[in-house]
Amino acid sequence: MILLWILMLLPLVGAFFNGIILRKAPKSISHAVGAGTLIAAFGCAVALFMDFMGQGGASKVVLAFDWIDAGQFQAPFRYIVDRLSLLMVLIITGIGSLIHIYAGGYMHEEKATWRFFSYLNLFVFMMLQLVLGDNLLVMFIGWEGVGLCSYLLIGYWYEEDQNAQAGMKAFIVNRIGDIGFLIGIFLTYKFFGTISFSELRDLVFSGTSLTNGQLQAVTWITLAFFIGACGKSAQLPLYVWLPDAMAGPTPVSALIHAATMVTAGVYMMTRMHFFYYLAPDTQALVALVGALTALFAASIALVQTDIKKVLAYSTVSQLGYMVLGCGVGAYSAGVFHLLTHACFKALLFLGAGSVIVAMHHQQDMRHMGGLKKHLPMTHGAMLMGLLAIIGFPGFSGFFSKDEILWKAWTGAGPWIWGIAALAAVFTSFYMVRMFMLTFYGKFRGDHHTESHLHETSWIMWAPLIVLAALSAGIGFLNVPPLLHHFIPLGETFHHYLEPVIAFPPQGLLHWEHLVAEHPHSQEWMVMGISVAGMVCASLFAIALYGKGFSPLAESLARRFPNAHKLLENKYYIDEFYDAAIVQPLKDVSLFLWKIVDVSIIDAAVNGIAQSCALLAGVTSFKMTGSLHRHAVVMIVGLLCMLTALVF
Amino acid sequence: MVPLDHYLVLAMILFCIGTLGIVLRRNIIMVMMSIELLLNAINLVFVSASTYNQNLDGQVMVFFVITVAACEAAIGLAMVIALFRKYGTIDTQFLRTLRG
Amino acid sequence: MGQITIFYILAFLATACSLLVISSKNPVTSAIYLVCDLFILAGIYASLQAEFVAAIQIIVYTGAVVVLFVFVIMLLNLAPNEQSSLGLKLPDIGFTLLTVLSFLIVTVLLVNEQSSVSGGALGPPEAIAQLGGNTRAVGMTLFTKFVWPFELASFLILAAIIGAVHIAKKDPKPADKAYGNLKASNREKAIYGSP
Repeated sequence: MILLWILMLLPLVGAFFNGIILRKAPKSISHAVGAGTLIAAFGCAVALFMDFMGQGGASKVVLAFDWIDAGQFQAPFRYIVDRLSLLMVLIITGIGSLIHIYAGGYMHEEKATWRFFSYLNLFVFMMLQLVLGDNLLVMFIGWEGVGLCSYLLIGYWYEEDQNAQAGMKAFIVNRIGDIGFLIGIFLTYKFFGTISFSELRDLVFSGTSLTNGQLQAVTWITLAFFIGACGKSAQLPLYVWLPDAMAGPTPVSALIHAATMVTAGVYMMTRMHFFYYLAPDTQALVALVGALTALFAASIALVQTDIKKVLAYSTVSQLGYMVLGCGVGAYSAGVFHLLTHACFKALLFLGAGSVIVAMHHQQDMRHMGGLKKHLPMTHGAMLMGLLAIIGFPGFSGFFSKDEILWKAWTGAGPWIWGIAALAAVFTSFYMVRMFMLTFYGKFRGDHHTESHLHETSWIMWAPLIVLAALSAGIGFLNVPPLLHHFIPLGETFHHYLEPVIAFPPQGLLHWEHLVAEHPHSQEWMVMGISVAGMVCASLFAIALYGKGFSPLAESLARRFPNAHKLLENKYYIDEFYDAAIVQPLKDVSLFLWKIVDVSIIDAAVNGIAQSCALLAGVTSFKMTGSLHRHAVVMIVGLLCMLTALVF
Repeated sequence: MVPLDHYLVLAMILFCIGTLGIVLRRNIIMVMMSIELLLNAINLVFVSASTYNQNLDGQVMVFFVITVAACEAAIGLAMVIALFRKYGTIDTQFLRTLRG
Repeated sequence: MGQITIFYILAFLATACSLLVISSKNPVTSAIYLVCDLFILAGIYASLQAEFVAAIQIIVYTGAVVVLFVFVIMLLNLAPNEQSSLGLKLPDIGFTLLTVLSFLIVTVLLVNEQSSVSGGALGPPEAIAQLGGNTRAVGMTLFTKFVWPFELASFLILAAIIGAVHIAKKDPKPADKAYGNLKASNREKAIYGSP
């Protein structure tokens, strides 16, 4: 298990070196340290994985050291090494290293790269804590840690006021979700006496029947944790921080807000699958929220003009898919989509980063166009990512998204499936729109920028190539049985993950409907509709935007001005939150400050002091200063006391 | 065989005289001597009570009262000297700086 | 019978001496009368079988404290008009009567209630003799039951010594001796300035 400790501590060491010791070092050194530790960590992760699978892939729990031991409550630093956590570790370190390498190129004009890489490494360390932790408290440490690093990195260019505010928004909205997480921890401990995943799993799976109180509590626990997941994984209504988080550097958006941190909520729900299986009400809610989020975000993305915002809303939408997968009990589908999404979304973000750097930090697509001939590598790589995300047959997104859609159809009914499918159609549309507006048509920017357009250095497009290959190929890990006829590969991924997310014993819940057999015809129909929708939407988008903003597009915008405005302004959700929540909070705070604190409390305290002074002023006239008078008064007082004593 | 009350009455009379001394004399040193009279009255009460309760604690208290009286006299007289140096008078009528 | 007679004589003398203390014009005379008074009280203590206290009273109180008083009186070298007399004014007389009356009333009331307590029994001379005398007995009590106050008293004395020396020290710069030569009315103006 030494590999595990090395793996965990490498990013921390990197963060420490970059943050404390190497502040004055040249940029290449900080980049080398940052990326180097992560590549080494990835190596360790691969070695650990091989070792682990070589031993049969059974879950192992290792203890680092005891931390809290307070009577009944124990929370040691224990880590669980099993298929799910190792998968997450591979994603984090693998895609993380690629992004670290890329970031060296992206940030080469910046001044304080030591800060950047230090935070990035710290983030990876925290994320590892999150995915490897065996109990809820270690996971929470990682949960909060990644929230912190997210804040630090979003506000990396803190000199701009709005970047700092975006960072604060992310942190605060995450905090609201964390309340749910904390309540979940409390309830879990109260009703089950332990917060360790392995112990809880054994408890539920052991066959001993749970009490009525415990069963009822499970619904509330899962609900509380889902609120936490909404905050971290940007679901309705707590998604508002993610689009604003695009104020951070693009590698940050790629790593944190696409591949890893936002998936923490999905991971957490998968970890707690044994509870979610026991709470069908919560699962229904999860599925509904996931599907609605997917549709909602996709609709906003239809009219965004900032390339990163499109990708941000796309992330929210795809996260909705993952959450939907969890909601219908298809955890392997959800995690598989997590894996493929990490690959293609990181690719898309990094590609967008290349475009932005080439365009001298111009992000508005209205000023782009025709970049295909200037940025061929980026174009090619992003094309792979595009095909993956829209679910083109054969690419990774196709397999993962269709899996989720099929499970939604069987597990949650046609309505939920319909919402998700519509979101998929929107996804195809806006992604192709983005691609067309960026790479095709005439260049719409200014001449100065055009003359400087060139492909970025190898340090930036090499990771793109790797990610493109992954986006294209990784889907074949999980070919559904339907297609086994055409593609003779098995459901490797599903089988891989199955021991970890098995169903609980039959007596505890009725999950027949989740494993019922459905006719193959239905499956073909669902798949067919998805592919058809994708093709239609893509063609429509090409027609509309193939050569820039076509007249048809403009007329559409004119024909539905209200809808267009609504979508463009993100359904005015931010304004709504501001008016409904933020402003009243501010008013209440102002009231409490100005009136309660200053006028009442301060006045009371100061008033007492002033009245004392006043009283002293009044009575001190008696102090004539004459010793004689003092003596007389003392004696008179003594007499009075004596009299009082006697009577 | 002398009743305790007699001693207490005597102490009260001495106390009374001491009080009068404080009130009626304008010389600080006289005031301080009157304070000594007060303390002596108290000592008398202690000693007689200790005799009548057959407890030696009262006499030990007298020991301490005398100690404290000595210290107080020392400091008080030092202050009188300092006052005299500053103001040239020790008449309480003129020493009024401690006014409110 | 003899006891009571001695007591009455001593009591009368003590009262007379006290009255003389507070009514003498000359502070030195007052000091002398105070010495007499303390001696008489020591006699009363002795009649109560409290020889140790009597001795302490004479040695410490009379021999040290009053001597200190006399030293200071001599040091200050008070001018004749400093030795203020009784200077009785009408409110003072009224106050005097009031005080005396109140104390007497209180005494009478208290004493009446207390008279049942005393049984006229004097201290246990036999028991004290058994302990080896009053001094030894007091010493034993002092060093066992009252050892903490004893130590603290020594601290107190130390503090008093240091304090007295410091307060009475002469200032390095010349003192304001100017006021001493002025007339009384001018003195007040000089000290406090014109109103």
